[in-house]
Amino acid sequence: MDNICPKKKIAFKSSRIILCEGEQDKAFFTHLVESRHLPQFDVFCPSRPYTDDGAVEGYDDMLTAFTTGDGFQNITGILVQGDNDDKPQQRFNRIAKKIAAAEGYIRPQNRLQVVRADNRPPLIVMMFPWEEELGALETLCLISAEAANPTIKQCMDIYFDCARIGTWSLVKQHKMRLRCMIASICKTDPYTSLVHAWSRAESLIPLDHQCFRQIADFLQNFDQFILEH
Amino acid sequence: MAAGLRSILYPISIYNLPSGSKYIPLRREGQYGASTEQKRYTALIDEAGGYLMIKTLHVENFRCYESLDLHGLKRINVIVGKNASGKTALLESIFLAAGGSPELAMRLRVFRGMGRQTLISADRMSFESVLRDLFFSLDQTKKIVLRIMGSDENTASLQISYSDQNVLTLPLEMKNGTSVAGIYPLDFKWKDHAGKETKGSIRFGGDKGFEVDQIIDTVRCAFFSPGADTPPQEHATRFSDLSVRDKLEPFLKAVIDEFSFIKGLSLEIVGGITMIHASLHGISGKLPLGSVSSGVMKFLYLLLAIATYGKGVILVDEIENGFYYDRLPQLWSRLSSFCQENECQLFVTTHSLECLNAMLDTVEKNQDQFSLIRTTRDNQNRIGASVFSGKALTSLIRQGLDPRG
Repeated sequence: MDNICPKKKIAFKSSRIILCEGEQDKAFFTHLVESRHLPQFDVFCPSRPYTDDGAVEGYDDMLTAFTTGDGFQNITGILVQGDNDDKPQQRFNRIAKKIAAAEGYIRPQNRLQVVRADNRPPLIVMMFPWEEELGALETLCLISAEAANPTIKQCMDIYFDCARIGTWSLVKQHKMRLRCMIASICKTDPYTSLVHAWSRAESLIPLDHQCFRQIADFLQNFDQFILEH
Repeated sequence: MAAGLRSILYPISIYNLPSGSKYIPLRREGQYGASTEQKRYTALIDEAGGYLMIKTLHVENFRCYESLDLHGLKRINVIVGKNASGKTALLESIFLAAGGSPELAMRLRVFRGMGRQTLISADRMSFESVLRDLFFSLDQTKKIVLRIMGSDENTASLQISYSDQNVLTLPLEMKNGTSVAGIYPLDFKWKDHAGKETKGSIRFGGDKGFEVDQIIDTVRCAFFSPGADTPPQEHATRFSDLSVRDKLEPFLKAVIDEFSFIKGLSLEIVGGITMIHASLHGISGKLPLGSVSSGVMKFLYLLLAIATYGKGVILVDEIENGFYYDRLPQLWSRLSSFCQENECQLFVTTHSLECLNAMLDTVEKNQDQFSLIRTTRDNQNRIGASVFSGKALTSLIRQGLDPRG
């Protein structure tokens, strides 16, 4: 059937939605929920357009498109995820603006604020790595991967000095370091993407690391958080 | 043919009713005629206090719909859904409610591929079996109620039910075993925004076949169905009507802009039938539209209907049929602009993802002019439909998601 109709559909299997930036974030959430036995979420990310501003550009489209999904009336909450990168406030504002542009939604003023609009499920924005900290998903993944591979990390630190990446932005450094780490520990495919990092035989980025605890706890208590706020 | 059965030819054209049909005079008798269709409609529309564009639709006990309310309908409404989920039934409900003749119900049989002939015998069961499928769950004890509400809060409603008065029409030649007692007419009651009722019915007319009252059209409505075999003279009449009203120019310009190989269009008589012909670059003489291309013909007929039925409703089942894929974006663009210019409303069904994707540019620029209607059949076989905005339709297409659900 996929060969006949390869289009993606909006279909809800659970009552909670995560809208994240890209396929890597989607893979992360999916595997985090599974590995930690968290409540089920349907995870989506915009498919296009990929512009200079990233996939966040498609947030308004996705939030609007959700309203057409079968079972949308049963959705109890939407978690919108973004990366702080090197400009947390700017990144949050950009996402808030896209949410306001979606049909029927209201612009959130703060991170982790429950926003309620008529005929729409409650919506919360969560920024990675957390609140206003600089970084992205790769920041967290790097912490976990380095902790699991301390010997390689020591060698890499020397390489990073040689490569003189110290002048790069923090997030770009994290992305470069994570790419090198994955390449060095993934024997079956050193070039593998973060999207497939948790589908491989090798344990590249352990999801039980402490650095993911805040996110996992939030997902665990998502329903309660909405009720209390 | 079995004894006691009659073969009856259904009409396909509103202007060509069978001999068994009975005409009820129009309210302004003598003012209207087939050749002055526009005047007739204009007068009725003026009388109704403005045009009736459908903003909401209520359907009750009709076809697969037990009860349905649709709100937020727009100028161009794209209906999607799986097979047997009620797309065509939705168009039919509008066709009947917006039309004004019981004969339209008979036409639906032809559109549905049931042919123009049927065999009935002079008994109630046989008579009622002909239009039984109009009723939800085939339950003819319940009334069909169709209601549309449009701009200026004008409404039109239609109730279809079997009469509680048994009208006996005795065949001229009664045969042994023939009984026409208990054959109740199927009544159609339209009500306009002022509450004024117009009634008509389909009756058993003995040897003459069905008697069908021909009344009026309260709203200008045309139905393009794959099963319809609209006579070319009907399109020719529309063409002529535009010409008489000096409104042919925008139509011709649109056609020539779209199909550069067409030099011009004209009405010609072939075999006694008036039909639209095209003169083409590189070919001397003129060809009937059907000989040029079925896609070109469909496109022209659609534009023609929109231009003719200004402030009316055009229904198109399976709009993608006949069009080459690279023609589709321009088709949407042209339909959209034509509908807006003529204040005409369009309801189309499609199964084609290609056709939906092709509308992105047009719907992006005219989001408030579009709606997406998705028909569904749930796991208990209940049929429903939901209306989504043009913005939602845009979002789905732009994100590479399937609007068909």
